[in-house]
Amino acid sequence: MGFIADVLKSCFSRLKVADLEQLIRQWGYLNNDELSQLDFSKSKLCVFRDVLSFCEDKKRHKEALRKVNDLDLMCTVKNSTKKKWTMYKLQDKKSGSKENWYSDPEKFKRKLQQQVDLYFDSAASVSVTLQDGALWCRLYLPSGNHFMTANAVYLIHYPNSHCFAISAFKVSVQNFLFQCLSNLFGYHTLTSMNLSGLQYKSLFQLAFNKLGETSFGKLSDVQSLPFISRRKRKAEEIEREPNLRSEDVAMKRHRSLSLEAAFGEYQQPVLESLRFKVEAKFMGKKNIENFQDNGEPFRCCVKFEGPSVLDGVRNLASCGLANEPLPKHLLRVNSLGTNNFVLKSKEKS
Amino acid sequence: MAPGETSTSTNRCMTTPQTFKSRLSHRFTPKRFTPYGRTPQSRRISTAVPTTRGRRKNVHTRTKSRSDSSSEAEDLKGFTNVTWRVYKLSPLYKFSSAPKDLKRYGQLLSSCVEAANQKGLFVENNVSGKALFCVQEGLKKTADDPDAIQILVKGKKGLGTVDTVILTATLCGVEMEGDLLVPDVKGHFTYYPVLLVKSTVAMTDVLITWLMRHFDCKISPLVFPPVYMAWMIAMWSGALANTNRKNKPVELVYQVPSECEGIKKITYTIEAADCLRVWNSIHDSKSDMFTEEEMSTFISSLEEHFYSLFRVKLNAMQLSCVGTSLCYIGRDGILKIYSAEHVSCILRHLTELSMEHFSLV
Repeated sequence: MGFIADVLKSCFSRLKVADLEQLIRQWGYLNNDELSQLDFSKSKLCVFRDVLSFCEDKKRHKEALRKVNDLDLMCTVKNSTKKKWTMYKLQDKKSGSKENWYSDPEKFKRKLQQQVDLYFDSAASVSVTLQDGALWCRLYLPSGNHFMTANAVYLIHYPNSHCFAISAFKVSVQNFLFQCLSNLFGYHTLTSMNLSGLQYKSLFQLAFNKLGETSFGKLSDVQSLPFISRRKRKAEEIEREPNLRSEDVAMKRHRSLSLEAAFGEYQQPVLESLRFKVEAKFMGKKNIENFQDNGEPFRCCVKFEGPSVLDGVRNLASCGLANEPLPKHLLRVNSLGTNNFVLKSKEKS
Repeated sequence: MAPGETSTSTNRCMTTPQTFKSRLSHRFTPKRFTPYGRTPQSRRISTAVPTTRGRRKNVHTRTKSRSDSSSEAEDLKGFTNVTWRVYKLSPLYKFSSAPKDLKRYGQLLSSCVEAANQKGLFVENNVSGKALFCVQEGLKKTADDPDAIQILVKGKKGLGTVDTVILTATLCGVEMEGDLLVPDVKGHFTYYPVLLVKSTVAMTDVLITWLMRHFDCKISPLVFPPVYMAWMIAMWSGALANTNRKNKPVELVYQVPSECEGIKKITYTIEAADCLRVWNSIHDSKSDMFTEEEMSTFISSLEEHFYSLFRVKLNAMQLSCVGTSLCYIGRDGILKIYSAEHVSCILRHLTELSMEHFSLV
């Protein structure tokens, strides 16, 4: 029961007090009598102790363990932005394999459990749920007797898409884990897209923009995809306030039109960072008389960070902190489907 | 500065029983009166501090120290790889570095920590602290420098049974140029320009409050405006910490103005060797002094390269943190030193900055 207590403690520590009651009720493991005995106005620690005692009273260890694993997955779904997700794409379909696309969470769980049992200890557990059209999976790959959050790996997959998002995992389990997933999806290669962030829907949107299609071919009706956001961007203050007058209307209008042509009128996908590794000729020698140009590239790394970097890049131009036209490597992030770039000077042939 | 008044340090007014003269007695000054020191962004470096005349010392300058050996680096190793908060101080009244006085200060600070603990000021309850004051070796470089003092508070956190160091602090002044204290009051005051502290916020507050009350001084954070950090980048990006190992890259962190929503900061990291190449093209390595013009050219050339890549104007943003092979400095007075061999020169520069603040008041 110590293991169950550790998992429950981990769940409760991640949950906000306001979300606790709703999630416990949604969990469905406690009956109405037990739920009525819980006092959610007390501290989280009190509620945790009560829930743990109910789990222990049931005396069905395996079922209790499975249920707390499900609760852990529900907590992750609720607080998905607390995890950093990395996108991988599926390539090189295995010959002879059928399209293993599952939208039924139970089927998906059974298949995944089969693969996990082949490569990992029998104590490894799998939980799957369907949320907002996506399959959410939790794999617990134990190393030792105690529960460790580092041993839990989470995965998000939209059925019929050629990519998935995965949370951090130990390097030691990578080979076996990817072998499981390769067999599950029926593809030889799982390639990192160099795309990571906290907002999984934005990551899937960027990945879809890059990959461009699902197993049914290119979809003409993009708006039906659950991860595509179609909210228009917030109007600028000058557009919102009719009493504000700009001194340079023509310039601002021209800038606004060119930015709309470059970025569109919809909100950008949310990315927290954009990284560029640059190896290019040094271009800052205008004021340097005797620059020692030995032909070596000038190596630097640039990182843009913020709550929504793609919107921020657009705003840099609209605030006048960047001059137009912006370079292609800033404008094409949406279609390139990555947030880690390498920029090099073109070599003279 | 009032007309007719010279800028030598001996004429800085310490003739009243207070250690500094009230600004109200300065009449006919062309400067606007404020109760605060003039912020560095508004001054021209070439005229603000006559002693430096818009120049800064090279990190490789021969110091006036007695020894520069590796044993000194060993003594100062405790300063490296630790995140310090930097404070500036006004002179301490009746402070003594004699062993019996240091022992007494330790007892007084211990009782102050205990009293704060009783009041429940610490998040971790039962922080029982014993304070120790001792002389820090390796930082007194000239006869004008006061003995550097190390302050340690050891104790048990919470229900722990092992003694740990809860607070580490150092009072120092390295290669202090000139004496800002007039002879009349020099016997009563000791001037430490720099206080480095590593501890929790609550414990740091206790130490600072105790020092201010006990020695009638004023302690405030030593903030580093962007122009100071630009100087540090120019001075230290040319210094490689250890030529046998790969040096840390030069890092400039720019804070994006809040009106540009979506991006908070831009981190611009440059390989140390490439940065050195640019610096050597601007600055004559044989010269000991850097000029403001060299510093401006260096920073603007790096920003120009950035602009050519991204068309983003870094010169419209402010530096918030800078990092070199030697150290990492944040605008709010955060310091982390990586190289034990260069602790003295970094502290020397901090001493200079702190003394500039004091002399401007």
